[in-house]
Formats: sequence, C-alpha cells, structure tokens
Amino acid sequence: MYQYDDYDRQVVRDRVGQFKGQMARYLSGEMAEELFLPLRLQNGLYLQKHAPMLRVAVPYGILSAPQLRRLAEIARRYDRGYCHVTTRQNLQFNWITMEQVPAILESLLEVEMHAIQTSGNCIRNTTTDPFAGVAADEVVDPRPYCEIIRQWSTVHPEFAFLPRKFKVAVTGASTDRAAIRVHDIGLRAVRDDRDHIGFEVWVGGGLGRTPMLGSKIRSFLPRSDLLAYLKAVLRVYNRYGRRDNKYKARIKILVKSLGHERFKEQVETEFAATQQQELRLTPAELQYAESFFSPSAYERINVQQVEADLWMQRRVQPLFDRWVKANVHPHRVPGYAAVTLSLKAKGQAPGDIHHSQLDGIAELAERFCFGEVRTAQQQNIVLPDVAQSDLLELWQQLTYLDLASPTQGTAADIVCCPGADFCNLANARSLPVNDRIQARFADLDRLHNLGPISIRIAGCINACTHHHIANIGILGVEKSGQEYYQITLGGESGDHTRLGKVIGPALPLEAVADAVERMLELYLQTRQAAQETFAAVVERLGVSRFKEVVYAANH
Amino acid sequence: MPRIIKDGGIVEDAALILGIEDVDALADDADRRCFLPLSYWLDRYADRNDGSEYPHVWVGSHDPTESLTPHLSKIAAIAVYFERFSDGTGFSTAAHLREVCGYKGELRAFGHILADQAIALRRCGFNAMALPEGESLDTALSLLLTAGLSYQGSIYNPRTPFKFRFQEAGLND
Repeated sequence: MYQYDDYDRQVVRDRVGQFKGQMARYLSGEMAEELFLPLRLQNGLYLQKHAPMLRVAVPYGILSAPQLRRLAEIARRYDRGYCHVTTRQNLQFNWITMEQVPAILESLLEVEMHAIQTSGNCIRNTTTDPFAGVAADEVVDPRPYCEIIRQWSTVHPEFAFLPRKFKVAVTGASTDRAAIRVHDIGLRAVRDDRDHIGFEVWVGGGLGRTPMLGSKIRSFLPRSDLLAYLKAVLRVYNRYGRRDNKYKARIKILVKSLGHERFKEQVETEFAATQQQELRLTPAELQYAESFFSPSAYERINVQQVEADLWMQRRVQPLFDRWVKANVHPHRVPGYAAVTLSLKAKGQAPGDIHHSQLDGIAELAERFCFGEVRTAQQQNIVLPDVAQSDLLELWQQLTYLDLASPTQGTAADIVCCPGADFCNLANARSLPVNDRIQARFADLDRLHNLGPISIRIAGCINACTHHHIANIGILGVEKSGQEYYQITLGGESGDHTRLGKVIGPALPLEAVADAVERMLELYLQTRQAAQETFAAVVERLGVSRFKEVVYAANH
Repeated sequence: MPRIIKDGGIVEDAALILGIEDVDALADDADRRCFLPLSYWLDRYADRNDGSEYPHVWVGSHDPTESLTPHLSKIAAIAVYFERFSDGTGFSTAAHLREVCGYKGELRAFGHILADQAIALRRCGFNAMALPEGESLDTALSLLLTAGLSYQGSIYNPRTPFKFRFQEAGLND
C-alpha cells in the first residue's frame, strides 16, 4: 500500500494544525458557528443527534494492521468501544467530544491517517473495488490512480468550496464493483489495442433526491492526461454548477440541464486550453505510483494439493463449506483467495465494528494477508490475499471474532445507514428495519436457497446506502410524525446499473419485513431454476406482480 | 486609509469598488481608483478603442466573465466578488482568467472571504485580497508567508503531486 513520505506528512500536519487553530477560535467564541460549520465539515466533523461524529478517511478502502490497531485504540479511549464502516469505505466514530478531536487527529496522523475532506462540499475520498489488485477479472490495477487522485484532490486550492460534494470512483475490472455510474465522476481503467492504459470517463451520476446514472464523456482518456481532465471537469462544475438550491447543486443537475453533449464540449474546451505539460503524468511518475502497489510476496503453491485439501475440509465441515461458498472470492494468483469478513452478524448494526474485532483483524491480517485489509462499500471488511491453505484456520479465528457470518451477497448482507437513531438528517430509523428483516433469515438453508439479493436501507432521501440500486431498496420517510418506508424494486449495481422503481405507498415499520418476505416467496415460487436470480425474476415478471403480493395482504 | 494584501505585503489602498446603484455618482471621481461593475463597464468601455487604459472592473459569481476576454490586455486590475466564503466560484474564475485567458494584471479577491483562505486564493492566481471587517490582514499575511507544501502547486507553478518528489524546485507555491 502507499507509504507516506515527508511531503505527505507535512501536508496532513499543516492541515491538522490549521483545523486545530480554527477549532480553538470557535471554542473561544472568536469564530461564529456559521463560519466554523463548513470548515469543520471539511475536516470530517459532524454534529449528530447524541454527540459529534468524526469521519476518518480510508483512502480507497485500504488499511494496514497498525492502522487497525490505532483505530481500535481510539474506539476504546475516545468512543464507546466501536466504530462504523461507511458505504464510502470510510470509518466513523459516533461518540466523541469536540474537545477530543485534536488529540484524535494527532493520533491518526501517527499512523498516516486523517479526516480531511470526508465531508463538506469538496472532493471526497476516492472509492474503488474492494478486490482491487487481486480480482481475477481485473484489467488494470486502479490503486495507483486512486492514490494519484487522492494526492491531487487533497487540499486542492480551487476545489475546496464546490457547489456541492463531489465523489469519484475508479474501477479496473471487467465487472464494476465500484458503482462508477452513480458517482459524480466514474473512471474505468481500460487498455486499448496497443495495451496503453487509459480511462473511460463517466460524469453526472448520483443518487439522493434526484437519482441519475452518469453518462460517458470519454471512451479513452490517456492516463497521462488524468489530472488535467479531472481539473477541466471540476472547473466547469465549479464555475457553472448551481448554488442557489442545494438539491440542484450536484454536477448531475448541471450535466442534465446543459445536456450531455454540451457539457462534454465545455469540458473538452477547458481541457484543451489548460492541459499544460506540467499536469501531464510522466512515465516515471506513473511508475512511482505503481511501485507502491506491486503484488504481494506470494508463495508458490501446489495448487492441486491445496484444492484437494480444501475439498476435503469443506466436505467434513458443512459450516465451513457454506462460508467458503458465500464469502470467499476468486483471486488472480492460483492458490490464493480474497475473503469477506461479514460485519452483519445478527443483532449488530451493519458496518459496526468493535475494538476487539479491529485488533483481531489486525492480527489475522498479519498472519494470513500480508498485513493489509480493505473496507468494502457493502460495509464489510475484505482480506484480499489469503492462501487457500489458510482458509480453514482463518475461518475458525473469524468465528471466534463473530466475523464469519456466511452471508456475503445474500439477503442478510443488508447495507444500512445509522438512520434516525444517530443521524440528524434521517427521517426515519433504519436499524430496526434491518433487525426485523435479519430476524427472518435465521435459517441459513433458506437464505442460501434465495441466492444473491441486495437489500439496502436508507433513513432519508440522501441515500447514503444507495437504496436506488438495490434489488430491494427501503427508504425511510416521515408522514405526520410517523415513520414509513417506501420500497423500490429492480435496482441493480455493477455492469447493469439500474435504478429501482417505487412499488407503491410507503408502509409502516411493522409491515416492512412481511413485504420483503412476500416478495421473496413470490420469487421462489416463480423462478424457473435455482440459477435464475431474484433480480432476473423481477425483470421477467415486472414490478407489478410483486406489488400485488405486497399490498394484497393489507386488505 | 483602507488596507489590503497585495503581492505579499500589506498596503494602503483607497480604490473604490462601486455597486451599480452608485456608479454614476462616483465613477468619475478622478482622484480615486474605481472598480466598475461588469455590466456597466461593458456598456461604456467595450467598444472604446482609443488606445488608452480601461478603468478597473469587478465581477460577481454569476457574471459572464468571458465577455471581458477581448479586453483583458488593457485592464490593469480585476476584482472578483465572493458572495459567501463558502461559494468557491471565484477560485475558478481567477484560475480561468490566469490560465486560459492569460490575464497578467492585478486580480483582487473581495467580499466575504476568510483570512484562512488566503493561501488558496493566492494559489488560484489572486495577487491582492481585501478582507471584510473582522478578518485579520495580519493573520492572512502570516499564513501566506508561512504557507507550507501543496500537492498541486499553484497557477504560477502547476505540478502533479509526484513531480516535486523528483524536482526540488518551487516547493512553496
């Protein structure tokens, strides 16, 4: 992974120093609340329902073992013993005090971490595929480009006060696991027929109040032009994006109002005028960026032997077998696998992680995974580099840590925000909906029989959990002081990203889990084979059949 | 006399920045430098071509700055108005004027800006800043003088984040 040098340390130290000064002026009354607000947001500090919340950046989801241990220590010392993995691969501490923030930032700095630009109307943490660098279907490793973008966007003088927040996602695999079409800018690294690396550039995606999919404005941007092109897009947005209405301020609205062609034209004009030599990434710089992400020191493995052993282990241990099926993923190196650690154990808020688990994962990462882990957009943790011969032992250790729920990608792998229990923006609680749906999936045979299904719950229209692109999306709304839940159906992420449709009037809390059950029952009754997924059946039958079963029972 | 930051120091500056409502009454005050609103400026000076220097002009966030492009070589100073410090349009207006239009004159930020923004303003091409009441010029100046490292450099010295790992020059822009 990327290692800070003195320059990186200095940039972060300067910024932490600046923020400490701003906070001191705020706490002494010298700086007014309305001035401090955007400044604290740019440094990841929110004021939530019960306490301030600090969102810590995890650049494109990569964490080292020492960083995990430091996060555990912060959770113990300053929080209530845990933190929360967000849907943008970051981490949140929900129970800190304002006065502790400078000390926490100092502590993070010691392990090369910070909270810069994790909130506010600026360029946020760049996100990517949690399997970046190891995925079997990868064409280009996106991590060097994520790091280049991280540095370029950090404390950028021109883009610190944009009309609205700005999110960039990068993928380099043939399957898009970074959801590039629902980001302000989505980049897909590709190779042309001469094996030169470049990017497809997608602009104007986003969910929230006005969900839209991004459109492609470049099919092949040579990688050397990456920064000059990003700058051109951002400058057009910063100059012409709306600022009069925060709900119309995202770049997607500008792209829509100008039209895709005119927007593209403006970007290309700006790019042509400003692509100075100085902004071009040279081969030496690209190589330097790549040097931090060279392949791990894989051992040569007798694959046949390992696979035979694994086959036997799975036969004698059905629970292990189930876990391998759901949570273990193909790896580009024979004999290795990537593993999902589930943060969705029953009775736990999705994405929450206890300090003892953080310490435990750090140890397992060092023993089994070259000391590195990933956070995933689905609010899980990924160990990207595990030898298949270690899987059984890893699984046993994860079981002790309560991180081995064999549910990755199933209906129990629910993505869920903290909702009105914590968040000031929320209109309704999300966690009780999650608990009620989770309670229906005690029977693992039944759960696995349902196959891959994505369920995402959002406590408000800001859609942090991307409920629009879930097979079943659940959105909390408020009607005359009561919590209700609107259900969308047919959303999909990845290569066939599609927005779900609202199936009908919002339901009260008690009715949501039943509605989900009924839709899943209809699916089981109507699928033509076990291989026909829930999403495929929704597409074949149409939303109306599902609507019927949900609302029929209410009569 | 009012003071501003200009070219890295604090100087006295009596220039008036005139709103459209009082421009007629004061624009001809020959003793003082004036910045005129863009629309007024365009009406009166866009077609003038007698070789003399134009008066200064100021632009707001939503003004069509492009309309100045043909005249830039004769304008000695442009002021860019910040409606709120959190409205960052002006940063890109300045960067565009410097980078794309090649504007070489004075670029002055005024309106609702914070001393904390001084470094970013300079990196985007402002060489002058008039701070609102309550914001300290001394704080802004000391920030400018102690500005640390940046990944992006500035309008005057743009770079990729890795370039300065190979070249030691110009680290403090």
